[in-house]
Amino acid sequence: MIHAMPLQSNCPQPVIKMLSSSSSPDIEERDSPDMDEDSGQKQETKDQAPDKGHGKYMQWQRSDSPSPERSANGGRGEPAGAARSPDRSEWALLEPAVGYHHSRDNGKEDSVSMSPPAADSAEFRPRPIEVDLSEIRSLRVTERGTLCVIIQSDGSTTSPLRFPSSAHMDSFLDMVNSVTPIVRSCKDKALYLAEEQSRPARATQGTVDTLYGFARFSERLVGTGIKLVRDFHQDPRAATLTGIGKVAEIVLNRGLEDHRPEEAIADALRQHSFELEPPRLQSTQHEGFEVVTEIRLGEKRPVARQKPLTQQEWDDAHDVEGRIPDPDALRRRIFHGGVEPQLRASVWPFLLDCERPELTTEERRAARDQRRDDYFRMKLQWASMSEKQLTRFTGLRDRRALVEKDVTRTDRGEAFFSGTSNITLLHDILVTYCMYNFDLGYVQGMSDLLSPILFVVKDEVDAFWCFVGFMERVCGNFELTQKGMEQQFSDLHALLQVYDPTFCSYLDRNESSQMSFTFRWLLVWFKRELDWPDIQRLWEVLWTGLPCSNFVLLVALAVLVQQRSTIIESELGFSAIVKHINDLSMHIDLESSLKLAETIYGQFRDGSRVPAPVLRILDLPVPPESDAGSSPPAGSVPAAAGADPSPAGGQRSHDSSVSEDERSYEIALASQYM
Amino acid sequence: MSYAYLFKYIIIGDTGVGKSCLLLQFTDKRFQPVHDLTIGVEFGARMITIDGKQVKLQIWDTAGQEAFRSITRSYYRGAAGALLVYDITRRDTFNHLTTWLEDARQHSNSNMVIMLIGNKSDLESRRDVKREEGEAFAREHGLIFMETSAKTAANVEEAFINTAKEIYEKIQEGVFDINNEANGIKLGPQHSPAAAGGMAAGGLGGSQGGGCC
Ligand SMILES: Nc1nc2c(ncn2[C@@H]2O[C@H](COP(=O)(O)OP(=O)(O)OP(=O)(O)O)[C@@H](O)[C@H]2O)c(=O)[nH]1
Ligand SMILES: [Mg+2]
Repeated sequence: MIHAMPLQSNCPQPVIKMLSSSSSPDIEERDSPDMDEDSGQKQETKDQAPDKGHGKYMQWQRSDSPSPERSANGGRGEPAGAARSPDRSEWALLEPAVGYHHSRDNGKEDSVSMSPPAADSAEFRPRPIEVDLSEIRSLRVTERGTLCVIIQSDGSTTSPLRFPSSAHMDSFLDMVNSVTPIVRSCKDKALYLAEEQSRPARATQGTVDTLYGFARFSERLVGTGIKLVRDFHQDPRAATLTGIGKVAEIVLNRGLEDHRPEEAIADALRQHSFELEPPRLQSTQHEGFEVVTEIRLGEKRPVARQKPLTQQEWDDAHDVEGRIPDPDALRRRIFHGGVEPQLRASVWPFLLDCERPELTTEERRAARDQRRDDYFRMKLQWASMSEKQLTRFTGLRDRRALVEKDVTRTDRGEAFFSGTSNITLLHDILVTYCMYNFDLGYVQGMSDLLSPILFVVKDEVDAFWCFVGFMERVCGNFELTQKGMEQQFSDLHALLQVYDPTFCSYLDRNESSQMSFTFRWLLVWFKRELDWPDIQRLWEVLWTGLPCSNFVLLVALAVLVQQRSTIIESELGFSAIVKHINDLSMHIDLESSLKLAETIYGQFRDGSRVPAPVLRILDLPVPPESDAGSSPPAGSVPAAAGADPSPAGGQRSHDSSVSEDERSYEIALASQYM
Repeated sequence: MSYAYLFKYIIIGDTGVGKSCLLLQFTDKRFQPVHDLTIGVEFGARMITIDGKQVKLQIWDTAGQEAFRSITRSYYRGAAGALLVYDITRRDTFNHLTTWLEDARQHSNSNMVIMLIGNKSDLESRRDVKREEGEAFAREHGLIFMETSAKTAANVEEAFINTAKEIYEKIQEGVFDINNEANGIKLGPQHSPAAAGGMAAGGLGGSQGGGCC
């Protein structure tokens, strides 16, 4: 969605304007599309000029001139708030290129360009960012008052807007405030809420309404005792129990006997607002009744991340014969720091169980030859099929057609995939995978999982077997029934329910209990949410299988809970939540999310009375007494499933008949990677 | 900008029929054949003018792959309009319309306006589904029908705007309850008859681009 591009002094500087059709001291009057003269892109802005609405709105317009003129408001009235002081010319979009489609920066760390570069990027003009002031729900200000994200009522979330100093930010906020009054949230200091949401009456309205529900609810809880808890036990996601966090606050903090009138409960709840950690509930079944106990999570211990694994360390991890005597230590090391980019081609096959650590260099070479033979044997199975034969093999023909359609729509913005040769490799590997695992076949999303692997290992055969290793871990995501995805949604919900019951109940109340807004995160492991280097970092960490095979759920939980106050306080509903989560793409801080995920893992591990099903999601040991009647661990994938050595050693005679093909293939590969 | 109404649209149909290209053509006025396939949902938005009123379209572009059908169903919630797209050069995408329609009817509100779209009309030489067939299907199921090309932009504006007009008419007739957001219609933040009526915008169907989401 957003083209992440570091702001350099010589790159085009966007300018910020505030526009409005109604005059106001700080806001520019908008009357003609021609006012964008200063931006040097009259034509484009005209094309994209929005309707002249009747509201006040801000526009961030990218300018191609290095030092944008700021007096170009047609000389009418005061220049816009943004343009008035010379300093403010430095206001800039962090990601100047705003477009609809997913694209990434090619100039980063370890991107290489092996194929001709992608279509001229100048052709894709960023659209101006526009924000209707009356639509602002909240502004999140971070990085010591220099970065601002604006959240609108439909969940739309702008790219971060970078300010040179907090003083600039203050004047910007003043200006916003003069049009749409904003107040700082008392629960989240980084959040400024548009007045409509923050007015006392309004602020508590939603809460109070639901609280009246809770009050009745808690009455029932008191009256009928344990009924509610039983429901909770049977279906933790039942809609009637959306308020469980709040109920816990009142009922458990005050004891079940404390029967208070609705008013008082509502009052009490109003005081106990979001920031209070409500106790967590757990129920245990005991012959006919249930006992509610409070779940305690462990202490929140910050963790540090390490530097990526170096060549030296990798070499040292091998013995003289080339074995890796302590693969677990190596995995731990990679979990904590990842791998240096140039090492990835060697390390990934090990992480993906395609190189076996107990083999010597010699044995490894032989195994690699074997894999090569196996791969080309499977490849030949489809590559040698005639058109006529395919008409009677529609299962394969249809899959091939789908793969063909999809590889041309996979990461074409990356230089590596902008040409045709690497796209052909993607195609061949995916179709061969269909032959390897015909029952699963090809499902969309797989090409996204393969592309970074091919990019890193740069060898068709290695990429294939690494992909096989990856698919071992995530094949459940691609079942036609989508059972694997459903399971992950419900596991994530169960984790959230324990970790942050208030947030969880907010989502439940807003028709989001299904967690389907995390679909893309989980399906392709944040492939669409992170930039190219970060994808590689995240995946190598997750492939270690540490500290548990479902760690991706904790990463998702970590990313999600970082949005809790934005979502709750901006009062986002179902559609707006989906939109907001989608808009996070390319704005997720990976390292801090990994840290938080690890911290959360520790809290679950060190907690007491954490429900057994939740412990199982995280591969944590279940204390014997809490083991009653819970279901088996769902959706857990074996951490180190070996790559299936498919029926070994295809017939030699067969091979000789295909050697022609193979050879030409290898030559093609060699010329590509030389 | 402020709008009088916000309509939620959803675009559905088999993979590769050109849903994302249609959306991009409508919101950005360009055809970009090279882009990523859709996983989950992506968004677009644009302001149009209907009957002198600003209407913001918030458009949900879904993934067409069969395996993702269940996730797509969850996005129907609260949609006022749907564009059901097939590819005139691929008969199978036309054959699947019935399933899509069943899904749409089952998981959306009953008043949702559905527009049937035969896309890629620029590929006349490869046509596999006759225009009349599309018309017949639409007639049979009470849909509006159009053939479009995301590549040449033919009928793209019309497809989105005609759907909006139909929704707008339903509002005028009182069929849609605009106070219930589950219908996919929201009143604008500053909506008042005076404000909306006072604008110098064009008549029914007039529109300009813009409005990033
Ligand atoms: N000639 C022509 N090609 C088109 C047109 N619309 C789309 N295409 C092509 O069809 C391909 C698929 O289009 P998409 O917009 O990605 O298809 P989609 O329906 O969004 O597919 P999913 O996201 O997988 O559900 C594109 O790569 C375009 O090259 C059109 O109107 N004419
Ligand atoms: Mg698409």
